[in-house]
Amino acid sequence: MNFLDNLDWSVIPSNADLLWSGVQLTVVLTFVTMILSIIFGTVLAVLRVCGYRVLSWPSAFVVNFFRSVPLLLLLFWVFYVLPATTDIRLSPFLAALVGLSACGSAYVAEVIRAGILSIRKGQREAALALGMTRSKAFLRITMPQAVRRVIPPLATIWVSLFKDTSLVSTIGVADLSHAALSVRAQTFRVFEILTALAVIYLLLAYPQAKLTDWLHRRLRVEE
Amino acid sequence: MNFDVVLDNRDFLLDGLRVTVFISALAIVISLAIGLLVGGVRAYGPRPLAAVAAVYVDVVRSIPFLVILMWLFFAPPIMLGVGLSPLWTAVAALAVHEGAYFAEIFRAGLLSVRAGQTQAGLAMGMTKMLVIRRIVVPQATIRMLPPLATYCGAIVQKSAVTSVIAVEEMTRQAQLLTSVTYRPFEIFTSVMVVYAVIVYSLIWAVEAVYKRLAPRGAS
Repeated sequence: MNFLDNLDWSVIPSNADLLWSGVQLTVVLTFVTMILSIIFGTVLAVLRVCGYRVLSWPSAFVVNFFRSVPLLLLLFWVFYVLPATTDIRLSPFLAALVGLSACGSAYVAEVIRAGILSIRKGQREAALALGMTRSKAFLRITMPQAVRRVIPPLATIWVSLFKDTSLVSTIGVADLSHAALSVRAQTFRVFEILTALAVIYLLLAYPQAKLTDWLHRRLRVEE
Repeated sequence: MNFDVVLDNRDFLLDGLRVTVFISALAIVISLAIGLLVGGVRAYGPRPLAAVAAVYVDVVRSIPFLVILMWLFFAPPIMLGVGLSPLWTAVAALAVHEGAYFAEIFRAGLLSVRAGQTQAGLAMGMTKMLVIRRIVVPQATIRMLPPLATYCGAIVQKSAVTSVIAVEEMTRQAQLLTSVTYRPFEIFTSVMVVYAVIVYSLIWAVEAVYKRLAPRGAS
């Protein structure tokens, strides 16, 4: 194992500050994207199920389009194409936020729509029969039950979003991947850096994935 | 706005599309094989093997695809002195990554068939293998169709990431073409639409098949 002798792992602790700021940015980016995705995703889902075609069709188109497009291309589009075609110039961070949220909102919208549709029709009809208005039946009967059902899939989206933020390194956002890749470019310690990068992501994402599995078990619905 | 630049260079972009389809199709086939094996071992295999399979699934699902791709591209030459070409690295990375997700789909699908059916099969004198093959797998396969389609679509989407190791697939070709023609809007928008059409029609087609078969998968 000749190659093991040539490794120099000291590049990891000596660049710990840079990697740590990358971790922070990755977490912040995931968090803000998730908030925006939940807001826009909920709006898209409600438009989709509201019963008016003028609203549900455009919503379905937007959701299906952003679910089908590669995230990397979306990020390129917002960061390179938009300023070349229009006067809109976003900073790398904002461009990343827009690209990730467009994608995230589409996934969240599907999850929330499925959650709303999973509540049996009889419940809404019973609420209406009791004299509730349609919006009151939606807010008081359907939504509270749907929220509980969408928490596990939302956690799944969070975990994949956390990993997908690594793609923003390609448009120059200083996330964890970007930090590691710049250390690699300075030190040429390719093997050590890439292995450390994989291990750091593993240590961060593994507990999240296990928590998600637990949520799926805990909140399982049986009818 | 002038989409002539896309039409004039369609051969160049179609070359990229061919590579995208090639690596995606191959990665889907290998992922299915990995998923079947690992998912089957997790559902029915002996404890120690199932534990190894679980480690593979958990580790791979916790690391971003970009990092797996770059590691598989740069690490083997340093460790072993030899490595794969960008194209085969792309196929390997996609298969290793998505194989873990496929394994989870297979496992969940196999375990979703009610235990009473297996017991009934065994009580009728069928062997365990025969029960799995004739009773569990046919129903599980139908139930697994929608998530499998979603993750096959994800392979096509993720294949765009392989452009960072210079695989000449559609995204890479679009970047090269943009650097020569400087028409980013037309080129990237067209390529994005092509991806959307491929991925959406894949999911839509499987969904259509699923709707017809769903009653047979319900138990």
